[in-house]
Amino acid sequence: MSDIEPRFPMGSLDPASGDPRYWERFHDRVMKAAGAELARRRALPLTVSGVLLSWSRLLVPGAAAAAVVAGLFLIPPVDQEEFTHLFAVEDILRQEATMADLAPVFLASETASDDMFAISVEWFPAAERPGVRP
Amino acid sequence: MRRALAGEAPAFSELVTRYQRAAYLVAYGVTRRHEDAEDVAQEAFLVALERLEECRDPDRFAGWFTTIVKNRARNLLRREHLREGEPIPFHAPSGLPGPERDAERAELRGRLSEAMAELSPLQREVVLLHDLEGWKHREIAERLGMPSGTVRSHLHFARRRLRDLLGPTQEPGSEGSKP
Repeated sequence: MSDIEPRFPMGSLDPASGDPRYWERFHDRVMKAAGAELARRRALPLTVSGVLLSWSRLLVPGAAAAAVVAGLFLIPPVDQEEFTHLFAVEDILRQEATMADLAPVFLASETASDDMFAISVEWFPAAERPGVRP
Repeated sequence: MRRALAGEAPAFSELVTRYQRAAYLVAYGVTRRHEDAEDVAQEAFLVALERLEECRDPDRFAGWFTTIVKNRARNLLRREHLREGEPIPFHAPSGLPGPERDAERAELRGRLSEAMAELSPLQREVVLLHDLEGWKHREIAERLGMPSGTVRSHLHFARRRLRDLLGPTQEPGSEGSKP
């Protein structure tokens, strides 16, 4: 609606309308009044905490993003439950294990290491293996 | 803004140059008195410099600073218990060429000031920042924290009210209103 409307002529409210140097003087007054505060700021010592504070706005989000990325790399590929199944193989072999009991172990070994299953069987005394007669 | 934080005078000078007119107009929109608007604008720059650490985002300096100006102007009004519709003492500096033109300008300024008193503070602020300072709808919306459509609406009704009160107005020495 206002895009097609002309600006309302209110230039006479601008103090510079009758005094072209008005803003120049205003600016000089502000700068003069601000002199002490500017000097105080320049005199502030460059402290470690000050530097850290000034950089914190950039560092904190950056560190957070880096932590997220690092966390993604550190997540283990196999969860703890699957390892629990894998390490329970000896117990299962000692007892009368059914296929239903072993199913989770074989499923777990698909994502974990097949070698661990083989090693655990190999190192088990032959006399104690189910179905193996001494 | 960061350089001004460190006390660099040229950096602060740049901020003053960029926002001095806007500061004055925002203050004027609240106080409707030239002297008060001038004082408020000047004080607001000093307060802003003292509290510069509180402005978290340099990109939002304008909005943050505008809020300081408005709050100080309102505080001034509260302190002095200014009455609505009080005339604005506004003295053109002496010694300028064209006394007739100055008189014409002063008369127009007086009429405009009276008409501005009929607007709401928000309408005054919007119309001053847009039509006098040249801010865009989007800039005003961002800095006043309102939708752009609301800014357009305030601007439209403010202009219409001013035209109703003043009729066709022309700047002294100008060829007419700018698009």
